[in-house]
Amino acid sequence: MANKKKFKVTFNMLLFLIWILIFIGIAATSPVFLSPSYLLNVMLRNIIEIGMVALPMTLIIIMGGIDLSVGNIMILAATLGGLAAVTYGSAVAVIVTILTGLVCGLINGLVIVKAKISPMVTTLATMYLYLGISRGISKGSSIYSFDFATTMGTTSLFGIPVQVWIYVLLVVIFTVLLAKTTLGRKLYSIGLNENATQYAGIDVGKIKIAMYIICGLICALASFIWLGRFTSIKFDAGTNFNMKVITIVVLGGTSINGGIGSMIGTIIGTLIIATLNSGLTVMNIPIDVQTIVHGSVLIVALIAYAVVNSRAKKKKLIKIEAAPKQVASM
Amino acid sequence: MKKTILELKDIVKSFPGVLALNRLKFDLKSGEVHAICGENGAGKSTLMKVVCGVYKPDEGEIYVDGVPQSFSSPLDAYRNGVSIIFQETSLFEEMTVLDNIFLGHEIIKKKAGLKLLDYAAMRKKATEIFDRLNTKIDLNACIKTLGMAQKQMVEIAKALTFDANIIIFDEPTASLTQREVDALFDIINKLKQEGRGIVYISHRLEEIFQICDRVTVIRDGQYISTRNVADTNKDELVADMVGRAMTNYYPKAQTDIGEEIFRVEHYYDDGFLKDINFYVRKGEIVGFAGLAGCGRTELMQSICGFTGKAAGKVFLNGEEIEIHNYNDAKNRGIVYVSEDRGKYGLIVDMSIEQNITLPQLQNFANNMSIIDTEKEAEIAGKYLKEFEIKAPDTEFLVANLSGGNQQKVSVSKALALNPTLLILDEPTRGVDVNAKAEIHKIISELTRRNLSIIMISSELPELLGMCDRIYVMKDGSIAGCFDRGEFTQEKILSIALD
Repeated sequence: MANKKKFKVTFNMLLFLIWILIFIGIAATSPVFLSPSYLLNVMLRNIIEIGMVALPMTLIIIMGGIDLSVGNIMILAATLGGLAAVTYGSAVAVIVTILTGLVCGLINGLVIVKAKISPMVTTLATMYLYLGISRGISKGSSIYSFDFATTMGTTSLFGIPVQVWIYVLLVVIFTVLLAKTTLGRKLYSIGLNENATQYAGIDVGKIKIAMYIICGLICALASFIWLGRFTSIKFDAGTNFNMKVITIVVLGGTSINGGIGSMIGTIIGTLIIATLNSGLTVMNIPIDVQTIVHGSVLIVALIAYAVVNSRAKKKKLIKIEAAPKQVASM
Repeated sequence: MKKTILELKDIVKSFPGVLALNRLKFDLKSGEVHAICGENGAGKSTLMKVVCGVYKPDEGEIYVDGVPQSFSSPLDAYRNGVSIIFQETSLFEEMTVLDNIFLGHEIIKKKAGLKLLDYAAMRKKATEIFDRLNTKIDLNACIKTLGMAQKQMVEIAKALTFDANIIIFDEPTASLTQREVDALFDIINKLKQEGRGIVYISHRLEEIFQICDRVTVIRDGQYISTRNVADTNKDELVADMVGRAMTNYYPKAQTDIGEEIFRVEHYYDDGFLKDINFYVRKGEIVGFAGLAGCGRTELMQSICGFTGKAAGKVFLNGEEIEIHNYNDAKNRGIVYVSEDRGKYGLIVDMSIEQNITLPQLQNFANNMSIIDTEKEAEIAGKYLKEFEIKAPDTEFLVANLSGGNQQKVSVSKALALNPTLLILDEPTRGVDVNAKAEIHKIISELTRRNLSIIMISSELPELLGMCDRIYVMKDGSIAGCFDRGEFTQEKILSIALD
């Protein structure tokens, strides 16, 4: 087709534009926002854990699933790791943390795939399960950071916080994984039509379990950074985390019904939320107004998404003509 | 003089890529039973769905009692005296008989300013209707506890509560026993005597001669003929249904059939499939005939490893093989093309090339699992050209293709796996006449390349035209087998219906 190369407005471009506008708007009113140290040490550092977990969450939502328990996996991993550190030291704590993430993800995946329970309900249940276990084990008191977590949460490499490096590395891996690899293609096809994917001979169950495990592992990784950054945590710290992660993914144009979305969208979504969070704070805007702004930006993005997609989806059907009307009847 | 109570003129209805109804006409008089018959996919059910407001016709008029009508929904049609009793009943399984009968048009009483359900009145009316039908059904029973025949009675009762003057039965006997069929016919006769008009959709010719007054034959969405049942016979109707040009549709290639390559012995599963034995030779097209629900699809899906446990022996090239899941089958060159393109066959929101490569993505990726999209486009382009798939390019979404072209993509996807045995389940369902002929040509060509094909089809002429051998299935077992030259529509039907 001749017009194939024609410039098309994609949703990601619009989203990027929204981010730039917000960024410029905030920078214009409070110049302090623009200083590199503020951008790196406040804006990015504050979003890293959420942004990190949003990466596997994008994979899960694209394949038609969801994980409401991510924040609680993170806190449970930090709790068990922190307690292990007290008795057995930092090395054991690292292993315990990672194992916790793995097992939590495995439980989610197994229940969803083997017992065939909807991901929404399963992870809602495990959200409470992991929350309860965190509370029980910590007996409601604070858990303190250990060496490895402190390193992950507070040090810098070449002037950039170490967690930003990790995030960038993960971004590259997840973007390539989703956009270029066979696994990425399979995730889209599961989200679009699970039956047909199964009928192509693809082991859908195995892929699903693997994705929930990867998500659990990234939660464990995020828990080091979170614990290091705050030096201590309590069992209920992860409660808002779940919704924030899902908000970013949805803001990034990933369909909650699965099959549609991109990692780039999620990354821009992360930047938008990060900019809003830090920017509005710099501008001394009260927290209630900030929440309203969040909601409004999400609505604007979703409408933009709907508009772009309804235009792209106009079907080019080949029209079939009926026989000409007959004059004589029988 | 009986008056015309329903008249359809020039009805046209198309679905994406398929012209389902092409200038159809039909009329119904009071006090008659008028059959609509035609092969599977001829457009019988679509026509009635247009009448009762499930589908909106693209063109044409519907007259009820001489007044032009266009119903917005089945409920709207009910309220205007047109009722349809669907093939699969449309009752709510978890609700009671009484609630189902009055759903959407409950009798209301006013009490203290509130609108309340008047159960007493509803119960009285329902009892009256069932008395008239000479049927006893517990009004408080849950629908799911009823048998098929009783569910149909509930549907009929529901139609009568609207005092429907026009009642459409869509293949009502498909899942009834002979005794239940007799009872149903009694009721239809009673309704007829009350002066109501009955539209009776069926492809069982015996029933038409038993109960109908007139019969209209449609084929490929087109009107063919209307005859008085008393003045016609089975052969005439079959000729109308099948059409005379049928030989053109089946360009069977002359091939040399080689040695046996696939054999199934004493195959059964827990409950349905019983002691199945069959074989397929090189370059042969083997058909599987039978009524809906006879187990053809279940058998093939079980052999391919899609469904649970089954027992028996399966041989490929003389060697016994075990298939635990579809990957085992696929890797051995046994490939299945589903009857339901949209649900199991294709991912319609993906492109043509992405669909074709999905079952073997690893072959289109490097050792880092990165997909080589140029390689994908290359193979898809090859099939696009070879099978004349009508699409601008290989990145075109499958959803935007017509049924016939979608089916060609489905077949391409299977062929890209280089199969030795290709199992085609209803390869021309929901495909228009021309695309059918093209698909038949493709299938024929494949046997020239020494491919063996199993073809399941509900359209007998298709099997008769294409196959070298036909197995007839009934109730989960193989009831007969015919070679080309000895099979006829009558022989196969007599075994399948039996």
